[in-house]
Amino acid sequence: MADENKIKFPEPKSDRDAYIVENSHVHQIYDKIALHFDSTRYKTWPIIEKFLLELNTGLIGIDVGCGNGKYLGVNKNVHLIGSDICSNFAKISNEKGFEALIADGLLLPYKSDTFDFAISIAVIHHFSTFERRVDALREVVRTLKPGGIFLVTAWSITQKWRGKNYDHQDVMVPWLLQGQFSTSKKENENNNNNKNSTTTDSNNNSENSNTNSSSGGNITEKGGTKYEVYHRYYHLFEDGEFERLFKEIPGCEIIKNDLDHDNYNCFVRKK
Amino acid sequence: MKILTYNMMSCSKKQCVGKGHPLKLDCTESQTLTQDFQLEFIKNMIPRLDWDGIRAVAPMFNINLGDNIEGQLENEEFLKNLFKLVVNTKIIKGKLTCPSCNREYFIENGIPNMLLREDEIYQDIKE
Repeated sequence: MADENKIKFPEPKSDRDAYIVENSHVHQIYDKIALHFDSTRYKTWPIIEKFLLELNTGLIGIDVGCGNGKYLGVNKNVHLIGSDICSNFAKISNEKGFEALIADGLLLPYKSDTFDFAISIAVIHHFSTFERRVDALREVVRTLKPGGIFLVTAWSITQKWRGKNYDHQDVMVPWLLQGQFSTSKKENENNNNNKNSTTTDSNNNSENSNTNSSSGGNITEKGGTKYEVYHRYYHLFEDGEFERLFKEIPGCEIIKNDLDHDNYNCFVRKK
Repeated sequence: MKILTYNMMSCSKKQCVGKGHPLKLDCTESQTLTQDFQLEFIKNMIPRLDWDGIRAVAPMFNINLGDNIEGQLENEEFLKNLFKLVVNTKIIKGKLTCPSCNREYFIENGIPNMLLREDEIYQDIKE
């Protein structure tokens, strides 16, 4: 039932509560689904690829929340350092021969005024309060040198392209973990050969799902295949939201902010 | 982690912003990579390097960059040595120590773990 996509999630009351929510509903989930995620996330978005390919040789930049590292190797003529709070993503990226650290987006282990460019793709929507979203963006801006460009993207609340409709900005989005990627269950091993059944956040319609909203590991059945269901927290962006966030951060300006395929792609320059 | 990445890094703690670098590197295992020399890449990258950090680690990998770096920016042998150090040297196992607060970060399987513990994060916020 599609309703499970519409679980409204109350905004955490303190920063520490937010830390705990993100830890249990984002970090731990991604660590569990990292291998499955990697097998489905190989396509790069043209806008991001174009941005990376147009960079001059010898520039140095960071990818904050690099996931499985799909952008780290796009341009071999720049040095791009990936980081993720999920150690399994850092491991996957490192095994592909890319630079990857385990680091918190709110506490980046980099010098200030250092990088020519930065990207953070589909990451900022996993921070659960306005203040933490500002802090995460401010932290990236801190590490950029003056004139450095930051490309940050987020899911939008209007999901026309994905054919979905969200009522609330703060939602839980299910991930159906295929048995072959499970680290906790063995019973699904016979059901993992159907590649077409790989369903993920962006294209699943979970009308056959029959689960509740807890964050971890309930079994659901869909098309004869069993999955473990994990719920990830998202804060879906609306028009003007990046503008409001960056207004809190002195010393930078939005150059461009486009809505494309249900994603906001926001380009920011440090002054 | 390549030396070029290491050269950009700092302590994760908020209180160490501006003074948590260069991190002290202890390397117990490293790997030599085989990426082809790229002259344009290294020349463009040079103004971005923190030379204190480079000087501190070059001898650990038996790479002699000489004393006068400014005079050698057109010297191809120097540039090749520098490329070997920053691009083709990867730290597999070791430790990074903050020069300001002495916090230690461990490198395992080529990946530095720069996360702070929950109590360290909220200690920073209270201060």
